Amino acid sequence: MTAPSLQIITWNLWVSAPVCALAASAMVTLIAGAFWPAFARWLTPCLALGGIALTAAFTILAGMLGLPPAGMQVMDSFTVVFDLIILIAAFITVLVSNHYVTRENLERGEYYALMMLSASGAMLMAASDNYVMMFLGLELLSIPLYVLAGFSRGRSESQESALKYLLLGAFASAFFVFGAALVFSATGSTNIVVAGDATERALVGTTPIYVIGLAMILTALAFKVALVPFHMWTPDVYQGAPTSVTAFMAVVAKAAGFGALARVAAAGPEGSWTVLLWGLSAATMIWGNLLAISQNNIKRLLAYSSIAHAGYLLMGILAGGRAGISAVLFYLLAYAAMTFGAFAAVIILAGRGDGAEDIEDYRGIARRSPLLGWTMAIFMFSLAGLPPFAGFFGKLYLFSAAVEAGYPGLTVLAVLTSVMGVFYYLRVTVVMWMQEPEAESGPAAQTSAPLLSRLVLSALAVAVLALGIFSSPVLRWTNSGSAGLERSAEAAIQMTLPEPTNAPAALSGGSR
Amino acid sequence: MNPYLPILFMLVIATAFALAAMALALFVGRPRPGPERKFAPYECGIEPVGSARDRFPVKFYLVAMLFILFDIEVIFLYPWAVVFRQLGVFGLIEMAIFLGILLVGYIYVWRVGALEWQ
Repeated sequence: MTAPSLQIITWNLWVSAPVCALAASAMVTLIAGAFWPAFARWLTPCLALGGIALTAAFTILAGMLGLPPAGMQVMDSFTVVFDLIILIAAFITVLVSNHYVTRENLERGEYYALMMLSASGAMLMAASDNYVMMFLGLELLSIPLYVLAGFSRGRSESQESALKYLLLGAFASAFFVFGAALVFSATGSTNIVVAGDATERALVGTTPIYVIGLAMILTALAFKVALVPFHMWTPDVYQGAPTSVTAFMAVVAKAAGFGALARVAAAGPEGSWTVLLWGLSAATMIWGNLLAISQNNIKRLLAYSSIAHAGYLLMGILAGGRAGISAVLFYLLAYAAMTFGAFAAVIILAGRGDGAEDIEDYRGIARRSPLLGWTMAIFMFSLAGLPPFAGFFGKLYLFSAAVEAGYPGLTVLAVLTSVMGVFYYLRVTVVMWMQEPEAESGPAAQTSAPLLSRLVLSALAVAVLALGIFSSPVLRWTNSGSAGLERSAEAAIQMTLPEPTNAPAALSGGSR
Repeated sequence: MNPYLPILFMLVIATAFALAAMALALFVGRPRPGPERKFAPYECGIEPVGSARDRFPVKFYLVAMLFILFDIEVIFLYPWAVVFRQLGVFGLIEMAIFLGILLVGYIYVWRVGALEWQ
């Protein structure tokens, strides 16, 4: 065994620089919050925003260097595009959180630090070309989220949410590790591409074990992105967690899962893999949309809506190739904008102590606050997939990729379930615009909000509109990401293919 | 000589030793303790003073959790120590970073007041 040379160390540092920068900023935020709790209200969010901006700079810089894969991480254009989507989402989360955290007295330094650590885990998941590193990213993503879900300690729903998420999440992680172990035992490699290539060329005879291992990894990732039938936790956890955390979970955790799925899918597993994805996608779209119809709580509605969107996103993974992955990236961006927008509006409307979270509480709100009425309408229209908003073009690219890849049946199903979605999204708008407020009914929704919240809300509405109208430059950018994914999959096959026949020989030699 | 003969010797000696020990205890040892001793948590040792199912401050859990956290981190030093020579300076820097992160956690815990008993 030789010591790693200085060359490798330098490359490694650059490849993992973005993740390291974000984690280091999180630690600075943590310490700053602990040392100056009096200033935590404005100091920690500012540090968080600064850290995220610094990380974005590092990501762009590392992307421009054109680095080869190093260690267990890849810094290709897919990683760059994906990391930037995560960082944009984290940036918006900090802005959206500020009002909520202040109102609910959750302003402790840990809040933003945990959020940044979780985001760095999401980045690591998408950047890893190795199951071991991917697992590390998964844990780094999940553990801060468990804490954040239970962050409003006084409310028992928040505690319930944290416990449910922790127990089921730990179970899912165990599936991932077991799956990775099976893949390793079948192929002799934990590298995603190398392991996939070895089975494809039938270099190793034990394909069933590889398929079972891959299915277990798929189970864990399906849990993270809430695909039916691994979605049971979603409504309860989303409802109980602090609303700003729910928004973060719905976007960043989901995006991270899809980033990992894209990496695994790029390794080209075929046959039973596509059947599995087809079934999961179809079940998720049907079940998520069906259950969303009967929800009265807005957070539960958005939870089921996020399940349904996971089904659409999985179509892009199934279609694969340049068009499919590019559509997934575009959709993630659009989904981030409209979901954050919807949750930002929910945060304002709920009022102190999250009193008004039922859709019925929103009666006639649009009359009292045109800003909330208009922006919420834009987000709901976009989530429903109506033109000219971002959600429509996201769906358009996903569906066309699926048709081109030869899944017309699934696409028809997706279109039909989208129509189902129109009903419950528009119901929110109808309640806000067309119903009279009832004077004596329960806690009325709030409309007053600080300037920052109103600015963020307006900016997100503009972003949803802009992503729809100017979708082609954004699509070109996401195209470069999916091209990078393809290229590094090819490079990994050519660069490292350890002779699989050597592994058993070495083993038997050692035992003698 | 049969190669299995030593096993027979072994069996005989083991049985004889066990029987001898029991017989010795019968003659030399003190009389058997009563059933109340038999059902106590510790047959020999400190006598129990009360039920363990009492309410006690949650602070104990916090201290125990922090102890386990930092205790487990120390475990990671052992594999590093084993391959210290192969890893060289690279490993030393890695471990310094690892301990630095731990130190940040320690300072945080200290500063937040988790180590104070009040």
